Amino acid sequence: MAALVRLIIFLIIAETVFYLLLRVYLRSLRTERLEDIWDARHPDQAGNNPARREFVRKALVGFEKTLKVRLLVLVFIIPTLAVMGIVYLVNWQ
Amino acid sequence: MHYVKVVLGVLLGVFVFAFLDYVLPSKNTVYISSAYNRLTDVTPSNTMFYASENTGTVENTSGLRDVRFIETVRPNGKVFVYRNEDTGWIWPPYFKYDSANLQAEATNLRSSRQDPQWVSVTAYGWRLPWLSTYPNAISIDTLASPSEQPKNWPALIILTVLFIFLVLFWRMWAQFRERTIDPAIRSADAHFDRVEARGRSWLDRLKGTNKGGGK
Repeated sequence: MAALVRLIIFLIIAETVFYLLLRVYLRSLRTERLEDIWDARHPDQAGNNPARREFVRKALVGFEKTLKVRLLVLVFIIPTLAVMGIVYLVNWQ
Repeated sequence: MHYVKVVLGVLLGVFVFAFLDYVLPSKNTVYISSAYNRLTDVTPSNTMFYASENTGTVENTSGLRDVRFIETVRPNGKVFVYRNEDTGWIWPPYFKYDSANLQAEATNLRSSRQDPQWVSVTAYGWRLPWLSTYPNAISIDTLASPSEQPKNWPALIILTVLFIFLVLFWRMWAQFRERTIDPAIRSADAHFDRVEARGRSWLDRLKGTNKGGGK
């Protein structure tokens, strides 16, 4: 029983770390994309400057509610289902 | 330095290959000749090739473990011995709890050389006779003939997932490097350049005053 509790704790820690990393990664990709969009729209104001930073900040409002970021919850669901699937396949076949 | 890198790279490659070879499931076509359990001495040298303690295996007071074994014969006539131990909720993550059922299945499928019942045994691990280690059997499937070769889907799926993770982590690391590490280095460089320029101008002034004083 203690081993099962330990497995669950380790699984949750690993999933949380992976979830946070993926979130930071997706946000970083989006930021880069927004900066490119700004540079294409305003060739005269390209590069890192307050106007572009403001544009990126405004465009990232509500980023947490997009489908892509919401689907990240799957990071918690899929591995847990996989473990349950392995338990079933190994023990009830 | 180049050779050190090459040697370390090769060692890492060998280690990763050996690790995957040990942990991933593999399938072998055999017929089962015997299934039994025997008190086995799990010594410090081979304990890493047995299941962790407290996963359902019985150990007596003198440290001998009662391990189930399955003796098999391959189509080429050579013998192969499996152990049949629970892995429990611990490493490697097979979450196997049905070793008693598997042993019953193996006993039920016993056959002789005259009339062999071919089965495909899925197992992970290595048979190292000098360390007395045995692969751990996970499941047994009956086959119509020894020429039948069932695909090792679990290993293929695991390898595919691992490859996807490798690519993903590589992309994530590249992004982190491009967006966080490189700008930090650049700003540190710029800062250093400014400090250096300030230092140089101060030196120049010092030299200038010296020159002035010399005149």
